Amino acid sequence: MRAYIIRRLMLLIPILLGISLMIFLIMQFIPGDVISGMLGIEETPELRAQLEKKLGLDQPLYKQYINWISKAVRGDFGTSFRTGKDIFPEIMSRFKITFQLTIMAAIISWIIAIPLGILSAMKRNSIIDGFVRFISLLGVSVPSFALATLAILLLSKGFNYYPSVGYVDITVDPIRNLEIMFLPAIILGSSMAGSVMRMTRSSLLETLRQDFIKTIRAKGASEKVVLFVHSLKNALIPIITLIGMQIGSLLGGAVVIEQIFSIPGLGLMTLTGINQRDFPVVQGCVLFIAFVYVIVNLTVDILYTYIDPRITYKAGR
Amino acid sequence: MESLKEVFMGLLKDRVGRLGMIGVLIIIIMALLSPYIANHDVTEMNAKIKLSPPNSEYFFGTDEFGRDVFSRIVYGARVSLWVGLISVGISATSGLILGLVAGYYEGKIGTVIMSIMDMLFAFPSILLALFIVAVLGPSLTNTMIAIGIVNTPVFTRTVRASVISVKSMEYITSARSIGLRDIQIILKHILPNILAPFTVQATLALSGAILTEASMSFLGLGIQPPDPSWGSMLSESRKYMELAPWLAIAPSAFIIITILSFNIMGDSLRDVLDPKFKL
Amino acid sequence: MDNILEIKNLGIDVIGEKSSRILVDNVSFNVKKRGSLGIVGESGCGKSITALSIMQLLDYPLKQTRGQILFEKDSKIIDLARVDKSYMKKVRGKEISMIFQEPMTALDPIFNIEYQIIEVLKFHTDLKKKDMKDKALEMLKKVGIPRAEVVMKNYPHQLSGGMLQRIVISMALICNPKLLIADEPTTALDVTIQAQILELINELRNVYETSVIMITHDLGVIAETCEDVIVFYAGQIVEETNVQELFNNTKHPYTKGLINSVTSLGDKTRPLYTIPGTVPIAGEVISGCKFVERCDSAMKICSIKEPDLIEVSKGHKCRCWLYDGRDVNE
Repeated sequence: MRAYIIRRLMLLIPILLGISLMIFLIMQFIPGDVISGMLGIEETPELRAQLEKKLGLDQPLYKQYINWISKAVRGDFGTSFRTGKDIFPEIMSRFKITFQLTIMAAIISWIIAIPLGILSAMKRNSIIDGFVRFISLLGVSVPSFALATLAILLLSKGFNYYPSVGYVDITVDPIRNLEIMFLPAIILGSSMAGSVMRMTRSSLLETLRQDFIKTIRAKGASEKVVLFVHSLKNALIPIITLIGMQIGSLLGGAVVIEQIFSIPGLGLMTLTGINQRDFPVVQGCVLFIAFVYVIVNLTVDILYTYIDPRITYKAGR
Repeated sequence: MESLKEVFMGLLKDRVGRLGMIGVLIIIIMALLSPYIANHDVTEMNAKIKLSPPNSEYFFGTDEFGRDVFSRIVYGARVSLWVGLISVGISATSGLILGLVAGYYEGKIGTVIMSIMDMLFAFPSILLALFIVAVLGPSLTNTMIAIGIVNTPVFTRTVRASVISVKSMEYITSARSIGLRDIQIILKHILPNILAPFTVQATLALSGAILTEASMSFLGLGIQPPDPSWGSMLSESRKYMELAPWLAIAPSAFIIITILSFNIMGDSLRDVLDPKFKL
Repeated sequence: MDNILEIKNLGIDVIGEKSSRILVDNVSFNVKKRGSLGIVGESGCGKSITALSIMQLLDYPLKQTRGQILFEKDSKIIDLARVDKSYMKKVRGKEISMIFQEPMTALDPIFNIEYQIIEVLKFHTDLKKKDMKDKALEMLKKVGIPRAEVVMKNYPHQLSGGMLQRIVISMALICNPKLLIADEPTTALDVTIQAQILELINELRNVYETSVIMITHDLGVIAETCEDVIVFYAGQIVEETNVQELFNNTKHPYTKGLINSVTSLGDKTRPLYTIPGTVPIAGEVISGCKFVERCDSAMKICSIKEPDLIEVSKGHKCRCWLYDGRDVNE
């Protein structure tokens, strides 16, 4: 078991290197000249050479990559074009906020989706089932930014409630922080709830159709045991896969939600970086988010081994 | 593979699927006939009538520049669908080729292709699309390219998985034993057999692409003004939420209807083409 | 009651959105105390769903709509079709057990063998955990599992089909039920394992004094394990008698065909016999005898009027116009 985890961690290295290489290569497609963009009208050949040397742009491409990645693994993501500040500490402090938002959203979506999915599967083909399926289809189809805009519109027109502006960190005032984060988290969470609901319903139905469910009933099990001990545990396997994948879309969705609600998380940092053409910031943020996503999926894979005895630790995935 | 007519009849039988088809049809008609449906120029500004509520002349009201929202919505359908089709075209074509190759030659080539796909999968899709657009610069073409690249891995995986399962069937072995060349086997025997999962994937990807485009435009990094896009219209509307809520409602409604219709159609298409998925 | 189970006029339908179709029609039979009854028929003839209806395990869209399932419990006769869910829970696994066709998929893949055997005891007894474990182990040894202590900790995917079927049998018999229903228990297994499993069922049946219903498409299995036989065709009983009479004095053309197709298997002097045609689609409405299309002794009456199940000699019933003394021209 431990050997399996270590081996999976070792496999992480080539994946992360590949991702960083990909980011690096995409960065090469930036049209025009970054240097002249930075220097503007003050450009002189001397200044240009000086800056090129400072940024390492005078070196061949592969050296530039090695240079960048060897610094990055040590937590040095370079400095921002705009502010001149170190990027990595900024990413870490912003990530805390995004992390909180994502976790809140995920928990909210599970609270909504899993019980409804179970209910829908149990009452299959009933009115409740139809209603839940409609809600989940809507959840899959309504983009979070549309939901957010409509929610703000409804709350302000109908209830005279305006979402708070001005972010307060959880360490400063936890209650105020939760007040601010609640609406964004609900909206981000419900955009994920639809697919979790669908997956819960379909994988539970799939499990209930399996032969072994008949055996368990034939042994004299109550419906409670059939559902909560056997079916749910079996159905959990595909649900967990989906949840792992969903964390990725939550991180992506955070970009949009943070923008709408002015939450200074990693998503907003990325977006500001893009808008200001601050490429070291963009590069750092994207690398970091991809890194987090890979770690999440690894955690999910390891979680499996606790649920599903059929996964052999020796034979790779 | 069932004939097209059978698939169509199957879709019609399903009550919910019918609703999805109607929705998709409305959007397609709006896109194809936008010059005839729209009753105003989409870029024509008129300060005198700015932010007017819906009325018999301006069905969905006007925006902050006095442009007709209804006409912009109609042309927005054209933009959405166009971006969706082209980007799905990009990802479907490249996914098809990469998937066929990776599935047919499972060895080194397959491994290389699939590792690149796995790496693309390591990014949240909207983030990767934003990143590509950030690098290339925001424009209509770059939006399509970005969404096309982001969706490629899903197609590659679907195609590869089907190729591998079809490849082990006995009729492929027999085709090989009578001396057919690889390319002949791929085109004649494998391709027709993977059409069903491929079609379902394409329909679902279309709604995904439309959603991604709307999100990108909402963030100001997709379709650029003065082209009408539902995402950017919705984004603009937020400034005038108090004065003109209709500006938010019309684009939201159309984004939701479009994506919902395509999702419903994709679902019932999957049920028709692959009954074992039906639950 | 001399019988442990009496089925009377059982009918099972598949419920459709607009209309329902009949899958099992007017089936009656008895299972003697400590007796063994074989139900034989082709796939889709309704034999398996008859078994499931005894356990009240039919799932939507299948539904038992007619008839009684009389079972003797604590010297009282109960109609299982009328009892509530919580009562049925106490019958399943304790009074009546069932073994299924596919041992590979009959067990929950994510629980170990020990958990799944002990579960039966948890449902039906108040034993202490330790005693449950001992009993499970003892039972595994009884069904011939080597290294039972190790197997207890194994998961289903680590064991062979034959082993798993033995485990399923041990689960079925651990509460000493009065009736065991075996639904094609050997179909999915290798030929050599098949014989072992049948022998095991025969042996345990004598030890535990359990009545058995053996459902199979294989007349060989019937010959080895059963005293009485009923032959199913298209949701009806077409012949009913004891096992000697069935083989020595076969009446129904369908049964004759079944026996012919088995006995011609090893005989190189005769061509392999097959019954022409296929089973009618389940629930299809046919006016005359359901077998008429495939029958080589069909007469005029056969496609007009459905024959009744009548007693042709003592203890031997058959549903065929060939043996019906009534004036068929009326």
